[in-house]
Amino acid sequence: MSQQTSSTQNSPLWTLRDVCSCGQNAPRLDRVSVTIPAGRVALLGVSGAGKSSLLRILAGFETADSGDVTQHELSLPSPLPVFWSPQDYGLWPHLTVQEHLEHVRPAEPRTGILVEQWLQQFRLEALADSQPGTLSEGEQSRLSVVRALASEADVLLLDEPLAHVDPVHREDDWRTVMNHVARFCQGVIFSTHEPAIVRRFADYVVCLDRGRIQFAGSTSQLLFSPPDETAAWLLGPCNWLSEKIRHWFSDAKPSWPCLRPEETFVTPDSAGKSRVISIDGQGTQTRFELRHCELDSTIVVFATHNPEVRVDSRVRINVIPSPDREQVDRSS
Amino acid sequence: MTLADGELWNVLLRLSLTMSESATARSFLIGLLAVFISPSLATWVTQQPPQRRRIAFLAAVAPFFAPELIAGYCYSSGVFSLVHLPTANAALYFLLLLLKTVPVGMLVVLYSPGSPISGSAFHCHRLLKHRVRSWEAVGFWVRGPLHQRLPVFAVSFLVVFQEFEIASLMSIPSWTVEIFDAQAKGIRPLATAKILLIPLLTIAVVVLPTVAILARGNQPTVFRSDAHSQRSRWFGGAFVFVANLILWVIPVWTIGASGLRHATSLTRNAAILKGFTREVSSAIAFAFCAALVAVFAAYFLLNRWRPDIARRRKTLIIAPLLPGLAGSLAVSLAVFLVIQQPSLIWLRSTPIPAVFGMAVFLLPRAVLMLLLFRSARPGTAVGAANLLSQSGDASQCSRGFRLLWQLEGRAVFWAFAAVFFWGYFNLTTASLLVPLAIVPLPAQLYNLMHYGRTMSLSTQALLSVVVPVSLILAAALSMPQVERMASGRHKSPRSKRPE
Repeated sequence: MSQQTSSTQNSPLWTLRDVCSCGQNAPRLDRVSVTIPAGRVALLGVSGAGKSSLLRILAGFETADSGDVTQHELSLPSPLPVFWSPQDYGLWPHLTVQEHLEHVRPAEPRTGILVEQWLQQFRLEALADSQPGTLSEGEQSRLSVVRALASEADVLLLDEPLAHVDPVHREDDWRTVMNHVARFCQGVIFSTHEPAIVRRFADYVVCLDRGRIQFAGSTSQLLFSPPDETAAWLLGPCNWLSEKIRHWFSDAKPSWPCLRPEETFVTPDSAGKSRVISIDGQGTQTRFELRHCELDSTIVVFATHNPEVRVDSRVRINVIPSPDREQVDRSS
Repeated sequence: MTLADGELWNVLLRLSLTMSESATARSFLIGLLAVFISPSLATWVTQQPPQRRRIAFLAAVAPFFAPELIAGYCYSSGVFSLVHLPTANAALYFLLLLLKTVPVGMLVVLYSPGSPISGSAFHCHRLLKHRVRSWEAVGFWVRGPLHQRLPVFAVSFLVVFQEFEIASLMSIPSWTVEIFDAQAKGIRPLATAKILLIPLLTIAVVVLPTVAILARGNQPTVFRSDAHSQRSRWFGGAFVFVANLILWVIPVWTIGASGLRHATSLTRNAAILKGFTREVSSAIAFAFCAALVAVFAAYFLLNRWRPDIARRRKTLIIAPLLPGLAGSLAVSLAVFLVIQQPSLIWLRSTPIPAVFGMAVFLLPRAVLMLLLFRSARPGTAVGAANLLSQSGDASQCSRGFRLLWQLEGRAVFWAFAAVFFWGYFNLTTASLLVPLAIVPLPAQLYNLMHYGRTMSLSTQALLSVVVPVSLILAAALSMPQVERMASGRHKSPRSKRPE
């Protein structure tokens, strides 16, 4: 991360106290109290958890029905403190793609990036003269994000950015966004459903569940020391270790409640306690269904793929803790 | 109450019952027709190529804006008059109302909240028709197509049921005409209230279930056409052509032809010109003030509306719109009755009741117009422009304000223009609530139109349309300058701070 972002990382951007936003049947935000720091912050939660409502309040688009929302002074004063890429893109229907960027660009851009370069980076140059109504979802999504970047605002609020961008380009587009944030912004707050994006690009995570704060802390904390299984799953598959399951592990019994697949290894062992019933998936998130040879019970384990493991073979489960886990343990 | 009053009241009550029944039957029939024709009109508009869609939309809604006084004047006298053939006259009146009402139905089709069961969900259910019981199918139909069509029926019903000016000029029996005439003859306020009861109950029976459905607030403003056929499009196009021909082209052409010939002689007659100018000015002043109040109130209410707010808050937002749905005559009479109270009688000589009554009547229309003109952009687009307008960078700030004007200011302007136009031609408020010393143009034209067609009246009728249209066009043409001034004047608040 760049100097600008890291230097301001601990300073808070917003403090929310008992913020409520009424909904039709249930509150959209229910007594939310959280401090949002500078840096890269992800909002996580299932659909309807209140992520977009929170971003809309931070953007000033909606006001809270009760509670306090305090926007702190930025450590480095900026002409445009906040810009927003809403979930429905919020594009200006009467402007072309190029005009969108020309409208938000400051008179003297500190990034030095020309409108044409922005269009090129997000593959929109052929659509420069098109209006939003004629663009596909993916193109609108990219335009909304690149408009936010071109505004050179110090804090970007991105509501499910690049959600409709094809998987071939999504990785590159995210990297472009985060490189820009690292060089020119004091913070980015984005909502997403993609655990991989959060794990790669967020330093701090705020999890919401039915309008309430479920977790607020560093990404590593949520990864290795989540408050509960639901929160743990927001960052992808995990092995939630209840007392009943701990004795399935061959080595020293893990003391942590949550093991990630990349720390969990299923290896062939003729003396192993369990037998493989099924194997689904590839890579670091392979799903093994195992049957205990003595207890006649089954469990599902998410572990790193091992080509040597076959269905019906006897196996044991090993744990190799991630180096990041030790850091989390130390800090907690 | 004297004996004479009592007899008069009984006669009027019986008459009102009969008249409201025929008006009810007429409104019911036109409401049903609008339910079936409006989707074709909406399809015709939405299927136009993007560059022609705006013009097609304007052409489709134009018949709704045709002033009733002008249409009534055109078809009640001269070559198009069928007053001596009562059945044909009633049929012509029916046609005029149908042509005027279907465009409103189209607006409702395009902009009312979606039904709980979407078109695709309804189709999925139809695919299972062999496994579905008939009562389940009825339930799906009620929550699907009927849910969508009920508001079209209700709004069309209301527009027809409360119509007054054309009915009066074409001598069509209607409860509105009877009540207005009774009021002019000096019937007591209490008797008026009693006569109004049945029509108001009829309106409530139609309006309340519709409001209850709309207050549920499903996903808003998505047009789901189930009529994409070529025939449907052709029919929609033909309807727009015929409606504009009958409600705009023929009246303006026939009145204009004789009116223009007489225009020069009108300018030479200083007394008539002075009187006409005074009447136009007062109509403009009342309409301007009422439209301002109505649009401001509509803007305030709409900004508090969200699909997911609690039902109690939705009811609070919808409630102020309900009186206006009862029609201009009912609203004006209600205000008139209130200001007859001894403690409020002093208001009679002020413009307050007229502006208030007209604003109450115009409020639902202002909401409809704002919804219409704001529907082209998402609310978040305004939010993004608003953030930009707060920038410390002067050019960003200026562009932000320009965007805000383009996205929000223009919508408000056109909504105001439409509401102003309706207010300008509002007859019943002008007749009942305006201070006695003032005679606004609609009241004066209405009085003169009962004496048949004259060159002078045709000229005044023509000018009565030309003046507000010219004012609106002049304001629209000056908008780019206003826009430039607005964006230039808004220097960033942050840029003024000392370093």
